[in-house]
Amino acid sequence: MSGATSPHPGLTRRNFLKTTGLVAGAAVAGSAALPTLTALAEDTQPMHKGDQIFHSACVPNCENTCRLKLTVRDGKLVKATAGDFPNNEYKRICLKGMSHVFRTYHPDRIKYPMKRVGERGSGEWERISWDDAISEITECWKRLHEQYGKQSILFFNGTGNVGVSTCSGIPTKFMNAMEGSKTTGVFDYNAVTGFQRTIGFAFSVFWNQNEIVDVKNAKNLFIWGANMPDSQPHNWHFMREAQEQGTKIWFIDPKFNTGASKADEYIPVRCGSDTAVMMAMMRLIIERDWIDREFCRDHTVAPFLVKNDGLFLRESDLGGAGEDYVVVDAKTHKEMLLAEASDPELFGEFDVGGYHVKTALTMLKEVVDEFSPEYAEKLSTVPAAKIEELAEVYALDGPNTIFTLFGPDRFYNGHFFSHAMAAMAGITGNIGKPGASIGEHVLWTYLSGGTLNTPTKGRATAIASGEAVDVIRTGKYRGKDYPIKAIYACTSNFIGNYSDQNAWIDALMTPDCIDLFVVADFHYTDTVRFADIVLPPAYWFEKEDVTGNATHPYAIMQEKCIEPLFESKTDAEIINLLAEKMGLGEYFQQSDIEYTEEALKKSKAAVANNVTIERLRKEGAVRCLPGDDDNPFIFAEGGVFPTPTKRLEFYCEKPTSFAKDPKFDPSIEHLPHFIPPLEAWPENDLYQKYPLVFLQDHTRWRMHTQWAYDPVLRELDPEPVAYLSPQDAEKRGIKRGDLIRIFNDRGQIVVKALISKGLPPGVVNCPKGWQRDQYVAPGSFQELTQRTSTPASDNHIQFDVLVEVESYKEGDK
Amino acid sequence: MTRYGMVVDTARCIGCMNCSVACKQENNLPKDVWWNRVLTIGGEDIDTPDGDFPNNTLDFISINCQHCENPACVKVCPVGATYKDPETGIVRQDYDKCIGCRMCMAACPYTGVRSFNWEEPKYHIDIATGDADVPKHQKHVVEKCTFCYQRIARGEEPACMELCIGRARFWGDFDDPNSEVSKLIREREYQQLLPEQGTKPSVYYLV
Repeated sequence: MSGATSPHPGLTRRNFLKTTGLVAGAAVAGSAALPTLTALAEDTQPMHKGDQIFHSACVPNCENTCRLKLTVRDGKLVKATAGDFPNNEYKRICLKGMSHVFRTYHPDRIKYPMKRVGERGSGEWERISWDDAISEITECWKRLHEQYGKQSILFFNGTGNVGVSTCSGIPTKFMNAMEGSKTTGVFDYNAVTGFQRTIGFAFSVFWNQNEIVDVKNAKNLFIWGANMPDSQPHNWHFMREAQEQGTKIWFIDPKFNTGASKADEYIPVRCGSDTAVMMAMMRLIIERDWIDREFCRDHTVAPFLVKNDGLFLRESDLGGAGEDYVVVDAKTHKEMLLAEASDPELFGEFDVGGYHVKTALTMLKEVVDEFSPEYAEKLSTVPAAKIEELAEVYALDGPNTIFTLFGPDRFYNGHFFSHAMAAMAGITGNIGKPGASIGEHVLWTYLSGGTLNTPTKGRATAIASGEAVDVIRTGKYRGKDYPIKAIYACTSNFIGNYSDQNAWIDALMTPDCIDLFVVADFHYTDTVRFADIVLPPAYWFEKEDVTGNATHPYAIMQEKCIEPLFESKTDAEIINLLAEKMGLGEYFQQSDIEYTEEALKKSKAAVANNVTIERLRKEGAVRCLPGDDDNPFIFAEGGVFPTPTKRLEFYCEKPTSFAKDPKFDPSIEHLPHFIPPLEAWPENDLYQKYPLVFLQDHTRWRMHTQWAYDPVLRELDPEPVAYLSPQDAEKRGIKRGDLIRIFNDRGQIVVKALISKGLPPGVVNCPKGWQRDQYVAPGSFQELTQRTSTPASDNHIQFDVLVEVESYKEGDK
Repeated sequence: MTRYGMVVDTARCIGCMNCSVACKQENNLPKDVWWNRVLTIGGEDIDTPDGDFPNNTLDFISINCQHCENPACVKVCPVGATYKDPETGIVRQDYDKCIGCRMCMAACPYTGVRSFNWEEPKYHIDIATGDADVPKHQKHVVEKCTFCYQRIARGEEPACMELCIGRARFWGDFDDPNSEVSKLIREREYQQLLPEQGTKPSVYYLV
């Protein structure tokens, strides 16, 4: 039995008996174990003759981007397991990765171009040809160009496939050539903003940590706002191995979860109050002189003098020709140039050349002074004595590492969390050396095509993601006419992922608002369900590409393992067809891998690290990070930071707004502050009506909304649930297993209630990612989230949400 | 002689169920069949802790056939379909001989490690996943973890061992005093499931 035609190949009953008999017989004969088993191996080996092994990568932007070893049998993908790396400490795969066969051959995969026949959102489709689909789309686009201008086509190129050609690749090139509209950052940019303005970015906005293999050199590891074992299980073993070697793990989080259970110490904190704890820690560190004076002096802006206008005092301010920074010498108490000062004052207020100035460290001291440990306890629930202990351990018992993901990021004040963390690392010298770093480590869009993405003079115009739906509904952006009449989305389920879903659905369902909504995706996601035309892209293993977006230091070759299924086409092919009809054909002739090959030649990072297609084809995975496998990358090694001053800038001289938000006030952004969350805070009046903070765990079962329909994972995680604290459940008469309605003024969701003793009262945790058709009643977790974003970062603040919960009976609204 | 078995480091285990899914894929397990399950030791539902916040406890334990040295299932099988492989110490099943009486399920003290195919096995997709050498799943047959016998035969480890993301699973020969698993149970404190049953499992849980 070859298995060629059977869906269940392998040994037949008789074959199986034969082989078992062989083993048993040999054992009776007294043979040693090994030769017998070898014989068995030889017996079964031909069964694998037809198997082919390929290597690719898992690219959903979970950030871990595992190298995959893929088995193809009779032209079908049958197995996905972990592929080797040059350093196999990085070899891993998670349960999502092992579900790829089920995803690839899912019976509901979108097989052909489809056109809506019922009303928008009705789910009624008919199959159409590629020719008809491309013609209909491009004819509409041409009409809109004439009638409303080129900005009227809004493009979404999300992170649903972080191959070089698809993530900020060919779709970006296309939206630029089309001179369409796009949206800004959206997620995780609070974390990015706070780090970028303080410690800079060397090569990726998301990589501000030492390479993770270095974590074993930390004496203490603070995991702050990240349930890593669940949301990034890939990297947990590094933490555990460090712990086994003596690193103490402190886990700071609102919920007692798996990460908390594995830590040496768990410290609960009120949702959205983390920054207040750090502010109090910094007050103690400064007050008790636990600062690392040498590091402050040589590697931070501590001695820099800040003028009333917020800028640093420079030589030119004092009539000199140069732009060197001016400091005050500790011995002479006279001003001198930074380059010449060996012992500048770290603290103090001075009058220099007619300017009244303070050192940056004094300014930091002033903003943290308000945060006594007792006050921070009131804000955060962390006991004052515990804050004191944290401050002492962090400052004096290093080297120490703080690892974070995007829990605190999802609050309005999230950018101050990473800003404060950087300040605290700077004043204690817990950065720039082995065992000491902060943040996280992702090579996000590291290998970018750069100039390749602007083939013409045209550029797409960015609109703030938080405002995009209002632009669509009103036709105005920040007071100016800005009609958007068509949407094209690829590698993006933005309806399922953007905040305030009802606003989006309302925009799409309003007559004459959006003329044409096109989505390229392989499952009927929340976004696809509202589309007018759906195009089927090839899946990740049906084309050749390279990825370099990862929590490991490698670029990975993505081999083509199988032909595109059904009528699917690669993203490059789809865009090439559209471009041809739009008169842009000359710029869009490449396949995914041809684009990527050129992109790597134009990418500074690829060139610097000698990442070429030739090497990738030969080696499979090529390191694209400074350092090597024996000498892991250390961020800002030696205290040299990729910032304008080359120092850690806990005082940010010129803070900017990512989406140029008119609400942005730079005067409060120089230094870290604690401001309360916008909505999810006890002092908010809304708290009386909606007293529960709505957290949405990013669990291992999904990546945002990807894998929502995976049949194997749904056996283990079969239905949408929300966890309530025992107190909140009892107060509302809710029992485990009851259906509950979670609601606020924006929308609702109906899920099964489970009780978690690991939640404090006042918090409901509702794992994210389910699609609208998977709930028992109309709704989505994204109906509840708010679309106001942080002005500095344009970050969606999806945990900064208040809700109420009540029992639900089937048939209710 | 060889006595294959496994050691699970519960301090490293994060309950992610990679082992369950690795097994599902490798052995082309039908819909709703799982040979390896991860249980939460804590609250009533998976991933939920016990205790009063914030003084909670949460642990995980993965459970599959314990491949006992003294297996209760083998003694009760009326047709010799379940047997202990003298070569490897693995408790094996001969699907061909199995008459579906489910005596083994009743005798085994480890609930849920076996399942019985009441109907023709069903699958989510038309592709048989995993290893080509996996025996065909059959109606009216009891099935359970084989320690990926097809892989061991080729000198490989069971799939759940290789693919454990937490590096919590160890595989080897307990009859070899120098094997990693022998060393681990010499050096670390461990527990076994239901030792009072006298089954002598070949699965050890480091605590």
